[in-house]
Amino acid sequence: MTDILRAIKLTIRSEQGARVVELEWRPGGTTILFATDTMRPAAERWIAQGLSEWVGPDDDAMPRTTASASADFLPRLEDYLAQQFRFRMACEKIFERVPDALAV
Amino acid sequence: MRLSADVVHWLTQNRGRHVEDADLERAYSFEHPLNATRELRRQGVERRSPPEHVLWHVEFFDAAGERVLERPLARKVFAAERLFGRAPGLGAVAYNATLYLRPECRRQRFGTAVYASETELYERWGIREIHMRALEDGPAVWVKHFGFLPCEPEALAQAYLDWAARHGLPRQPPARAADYPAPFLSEQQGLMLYKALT
Repeated sequence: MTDILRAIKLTIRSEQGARVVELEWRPGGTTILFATDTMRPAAERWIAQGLSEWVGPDDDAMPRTTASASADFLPRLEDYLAQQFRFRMACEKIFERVPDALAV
Repeated sequence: MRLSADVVHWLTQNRGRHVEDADLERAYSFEHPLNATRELRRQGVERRSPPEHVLWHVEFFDAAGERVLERPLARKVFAAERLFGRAPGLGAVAYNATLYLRPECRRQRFGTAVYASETELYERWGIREIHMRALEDGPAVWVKHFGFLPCEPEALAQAYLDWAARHGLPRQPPARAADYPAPFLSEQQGLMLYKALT
């Protein structure tokens, strides 16, 4: 049997626990499941332009852009926001277990 | 403190502007009591890890020969990175990596002098934006006094709603980043900021 990654769901909650954004990645792209009025422009921008960030130690930081179609997009977005804001975030990966012969 | 021929060539080729080997010396020899002498500790064109870029590190010394910074000032220039002010455009970006003043050198406007000189240099080189990660008192200082903007304005506004509720303030983010309360900004450690240059 092989585990195939089918979806990733990132839920971003405010410091007080209210859901503010929910994004879902599936092979091919990321969609907005929920966004507050405040956060919707950010969610739309992330999906349209990808995530642009500086990564690495500060005196050796390098730019990196991750397209929203990439499976790395939501885990990296979670890290990126956690470095700046006190949001409560959960990134859930959904796998499907299939027989080896059917794994694609 | 001379730029190497390699660095001058890369900047000239990638920026299409006149760059001289004395540009850094001119920029960093601003008058300030803490800026008696300085040394270029590192410079070069980084080609090993793409995207290619130029970097330099500078150490400053006061009149007694004591170091002014905890670590050398570190800067990088990239030819074509994402611009936050003109998204989704690309343009030349300076990444202001480190400027950590030793405690006894703080609150003497040394950072202001560095910023003013560097901004002039960056504009002459045709750099479109400065990017930085703000730490310690940086989030409040760079936003309120130097006009830097958050790379993620909506997330900052969302964070403010919680902060305002905790402090019994109206749950309405200000229209301008500079109008956020300094105590709120100071809590946003690691905040990514940018400033668009003319």
